[in-house]
Amino acid sequence: MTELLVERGGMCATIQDLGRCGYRAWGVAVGGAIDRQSARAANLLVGNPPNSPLVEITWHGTAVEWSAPTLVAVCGADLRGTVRGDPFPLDRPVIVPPKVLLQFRGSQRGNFAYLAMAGGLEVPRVLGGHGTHLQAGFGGWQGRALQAGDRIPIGTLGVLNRAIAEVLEVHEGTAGLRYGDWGAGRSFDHWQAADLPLRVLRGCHFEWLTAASRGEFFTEYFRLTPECNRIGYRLDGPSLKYSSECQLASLPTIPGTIQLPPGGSPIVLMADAAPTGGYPQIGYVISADIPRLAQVRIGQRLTFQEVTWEEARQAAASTEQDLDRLALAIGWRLARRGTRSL
Amino acid sequence: MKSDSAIRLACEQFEIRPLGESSLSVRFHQIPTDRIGGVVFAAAQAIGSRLNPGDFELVPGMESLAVHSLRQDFDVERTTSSVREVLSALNCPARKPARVVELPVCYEVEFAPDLAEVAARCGLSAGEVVRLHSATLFTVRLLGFAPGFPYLEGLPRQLHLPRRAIPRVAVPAGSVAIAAGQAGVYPQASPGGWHLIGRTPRRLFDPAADPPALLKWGDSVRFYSISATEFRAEETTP
Repeated sequence: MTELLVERGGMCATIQDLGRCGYRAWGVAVGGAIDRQSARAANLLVGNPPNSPLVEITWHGTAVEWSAPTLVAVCGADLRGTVRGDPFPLDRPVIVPPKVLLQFRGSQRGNFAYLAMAGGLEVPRVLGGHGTHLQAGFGGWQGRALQAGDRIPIGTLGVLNRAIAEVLEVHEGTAGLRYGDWGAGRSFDHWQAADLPLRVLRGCHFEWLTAASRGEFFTEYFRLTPECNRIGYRLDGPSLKYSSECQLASLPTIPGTIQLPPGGSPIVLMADAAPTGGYPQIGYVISADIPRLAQVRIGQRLTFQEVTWEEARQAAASTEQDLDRLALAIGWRLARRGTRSL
Repeated sequence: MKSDSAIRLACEQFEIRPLGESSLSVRFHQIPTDRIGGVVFAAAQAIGSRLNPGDFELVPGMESLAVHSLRQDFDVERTTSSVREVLSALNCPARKPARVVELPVCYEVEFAPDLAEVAARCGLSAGEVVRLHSATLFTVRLLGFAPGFPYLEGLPRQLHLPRRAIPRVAVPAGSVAIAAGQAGVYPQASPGGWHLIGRTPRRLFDPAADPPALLKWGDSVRFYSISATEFRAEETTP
């Protein structure tokens, strides 16, 4: 059985999937990949089902190799992955020879890279998901971030995994890697679009803000503070104020909820946030823009733009279309193989 | 309104709003505090039996209820009107006796770093704090903050204190805590801002169990005092 061999854990690398549902009433977060779109793209590129367990790599330091030739794809942030000193190709399927070290040297763009491998990582399903819940120490690989010496089994290959690998067999790239001239394309470059405003739905306590703060929320710049992790992103910007003092019983939250504690600096809840929270909710970053927010770097500035519920649904549908197009393009590559030599 | 009689909801007593793109948040208003828990519970059950169970996840809160869609094609209008219909016809039965869960707590100083300070700030002796805490029948109003963390209602007034000014970076698992008029238990080691007045050897959250949490929404909870020797004995024999 092929294994993923962890040479160095790095800053924080965890196994994730697309999250768990059904346990929020017990206080269990949805979790899963913080940039779901990149995670899904990476899985598609190697022929996996979209929810297959993969590695979410944060920033830098992670180094891995495989016990046998493995079809892999890296999507999301550009963490300057290198193999034998050469840059590792992003956003495309790549066959890596055994015992060749893939190292992530640090962020060029974005925060989280997704490393998918054909067959998916074989980790047990816990509470309806494969993702690592770091705070509670369960899921993923032994409930923790990857460490040097971990050997994680990879599942058996399916027809689609094999078909993609066969297409790539004919290409010989640098450093013994095999990859084609095709990949996921630019629609997954979330970080490139970081200057675009983040689209938000008005929150249930938006009206509690003073008129001035309501205006500032949609016109002023906010900046990402270093207090950011998989639970939440704290922002710095104009000090937003409520028109009166507000006390709340804990309310349901979703990833993307923009909470405003009395201090005036908003916190956007991310994948690992608890399903309830006691701070007023001034907005919700729409699901289509959460991957983009996830990849915004500390110190980078961002703005918010109000959209309607229908616009949010349309944006979500267009995200799905991007992924459907990618799946179609891969299918087309595989179909073409029989009629023309690559 | 007598607290043991059935209750019906008037339309101004609940409000249904979208929560993001794929969820609804139901909030309850003007319901007596001794009935709100029963209303949320009855609402969750009634909505749960009306909606297709595989399509939605219901999460009861303190004075609210979340209805999360698990499907791509969430129909916000249809779901809202279904939920409104269910709530308008809701007939919350008189309160049923809740399950009582008894939790052992060691209140000795090595497990209760804030007990002396809590006692001093409340103008009580440490023994009186322990007696008040362990004589109370608490109600689980929410599992949140962390997996399996129970927010317990019923803390006696004499023990009401704000959260610690500086939260701890690491609170040990099993820590029994109070703050902001509530009691709780930290199921895992985590950061925390509540006052730690004891520790239980019981495991409150086990991801391998089904359900994963020892306590569930609506349970009654009573704490009883054990010695450090008993704590260690239970800790080593799970």
